[in-house]
Amino acid sequence: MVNDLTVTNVYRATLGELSRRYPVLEKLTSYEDMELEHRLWERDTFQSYDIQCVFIGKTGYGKSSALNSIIGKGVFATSSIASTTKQAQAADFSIDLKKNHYFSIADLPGIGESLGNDKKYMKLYSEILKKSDCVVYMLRADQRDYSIDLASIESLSINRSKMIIGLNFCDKIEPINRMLPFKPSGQQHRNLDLKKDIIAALFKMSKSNIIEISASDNWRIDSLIEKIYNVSILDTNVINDE
Amino acid sequence: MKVTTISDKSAFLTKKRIGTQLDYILLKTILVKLSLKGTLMLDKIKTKISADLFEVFKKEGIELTSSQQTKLIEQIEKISTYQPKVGLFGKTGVGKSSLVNALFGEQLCEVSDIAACTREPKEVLLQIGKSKGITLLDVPGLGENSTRDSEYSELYSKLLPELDLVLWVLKADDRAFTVDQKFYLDNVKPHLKEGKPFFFVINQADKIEPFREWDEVKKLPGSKQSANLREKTAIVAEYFNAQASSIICVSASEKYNLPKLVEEIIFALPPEKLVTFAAKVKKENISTVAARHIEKATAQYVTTGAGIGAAIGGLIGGPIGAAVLGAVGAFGGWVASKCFISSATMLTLGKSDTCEELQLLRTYRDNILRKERGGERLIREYYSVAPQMVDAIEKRKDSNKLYEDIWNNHLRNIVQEIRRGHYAKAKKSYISMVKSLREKL
Repeated sequence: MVNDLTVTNVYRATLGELSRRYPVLEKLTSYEDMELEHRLWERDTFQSYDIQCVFIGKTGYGKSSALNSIIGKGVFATSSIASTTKQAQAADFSIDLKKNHYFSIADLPGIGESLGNDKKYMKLYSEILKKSDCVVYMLRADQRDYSIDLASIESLSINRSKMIIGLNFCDKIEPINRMLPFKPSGQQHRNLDLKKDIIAALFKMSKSNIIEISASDNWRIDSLIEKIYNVSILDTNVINDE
Repeated sequence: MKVTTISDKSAFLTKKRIGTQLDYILLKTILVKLSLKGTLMLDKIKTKISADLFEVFKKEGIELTSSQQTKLIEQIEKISTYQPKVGLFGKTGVGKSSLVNALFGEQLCEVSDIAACTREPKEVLLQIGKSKGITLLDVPGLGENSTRDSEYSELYSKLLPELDLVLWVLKADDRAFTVDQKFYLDNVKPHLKEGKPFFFVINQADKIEPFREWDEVKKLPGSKQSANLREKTAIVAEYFNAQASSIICVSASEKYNLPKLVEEIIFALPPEKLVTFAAKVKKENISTVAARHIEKATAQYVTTGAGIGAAIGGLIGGPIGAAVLGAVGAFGGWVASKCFISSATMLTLGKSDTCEELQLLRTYRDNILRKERGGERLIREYYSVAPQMVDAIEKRKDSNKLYEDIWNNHLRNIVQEIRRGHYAKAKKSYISMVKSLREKL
């Protein structure tokens, strides 16, 4: 139920602020099917319709960093060592203030850190996914342990066409390259491509829904946003039926 | 040209070797052939080694009775043939194979950048001779996928009691520990006997954030990285309910802090197991402190077992310790100990491809010859002819004699010239060896 799902707002601005950075989002202003039932949210004093995009995945995989990189501000707390996100938090961008239409991107606590928290967080994922239009499942280009991810996606029953894999930490894919600004070497490019093939096969999804990024370097964040837009307006549920 | 004497050999040994084992096909074959001959000499050599050892005791004022002598040699034989088993656990991609390679200095496991490369539990045997060595159980990553995970659970619980040392490898910039934690608590901790050497190795320390701070020249973490490594250690200690002293941060790829890890392992292993373990560790990873401990603990164990521990007392640290260690090495056939090299060379050389002679040749090739004019071409030429040469030699009836000739007429000189820093001469001899082999075959 909607009642026990709390999403804390940590940032609010107009969509214009985002679409200046990512012109594709401008199209949301002329999007006509906003008022779908699953998009209805109870806010403090009013109801709103939100196109909700959620970032989920393992802890330390850069969900908060990616969101900060999208917004261009450090609104979500991050740490390179300890996990920081303990509850669902969102940054909301008003598409139409009169109609209370929003584009919202949410940061969820990361799984994979401890057994106790995983259960709690998976429940939260499941609740919020019902009310979402797009899921960005974060993976790392420099890791290859997928058992938790595969199990989570399976148990959440996520519709693959509504899921994007954000392949973060591309700057750390082998052979590591400490140059700034980050530009993948030829070998890194080849390894990234191979990685995407492996992930596409393993997660049974289209390679075009796997977007390689480096949140800390703001690398290919625009491609991620473009994909988020396309997936969000797809008229299917995030959760598979049955 | 800079002349490098034998005393700074270790300095250039630490540099990364770029060559492969390929051009050693010939050398290795020669040495193996020689060792077959060496095996026949085994008893003679053992007698000589023993006599030399008793002589050292005598010089120190300790006359051994014949029963003490027998016991002493028994002890030495026993520990020189012990085969320690090391198990490396950890999720896929944490760098278990790379760690093995960095610690032991050989490309023992496949190292893959991308996919999980350890398809099934791989028992990597660092072979030194036919029966001696150290077994590495490079188990597959826990996290590769869920179906395999449960199969591994059972496997690991069977393996654990057999292992002398367990390393649990984590990745410094990863904090998703659920799989590790669950597996450790469910399948590993219950089978870990009190006192079994166990370490958490936080690998890829160079990649902890901010990873661009890593000093690629000095191979050291930046100040924020250092602070983060300390914090990481504390978190791991808490998660796994482990002592901070059992957690060591290293970087296999950057060769960071490996001697510290080896030191901790050496101090944790029981005395009868540490010498065969240490024999396979890359020399550059053994600190002076660790080396001293190996010598002392080994000598103590051996002499106590022979019932002469009390008589030795403080002498352990002196010539006796060194002589005992040398004898253990010579018996095991893996240490080119100075005292016994004259008698044991043949035996020793053939048993190990990390022996000093080969190391020297390899280092010479990669750090000196390769950089000289025409050096690269020479090496390439050698690469291309060596395998055929080995084939050709193998087909001949007098192959053993031929190998011996190669050693006596060429390789021995080359090794000596390199040792003396006479690189120009070494190069000449190298060229003449390749030339003469070509003509002969």
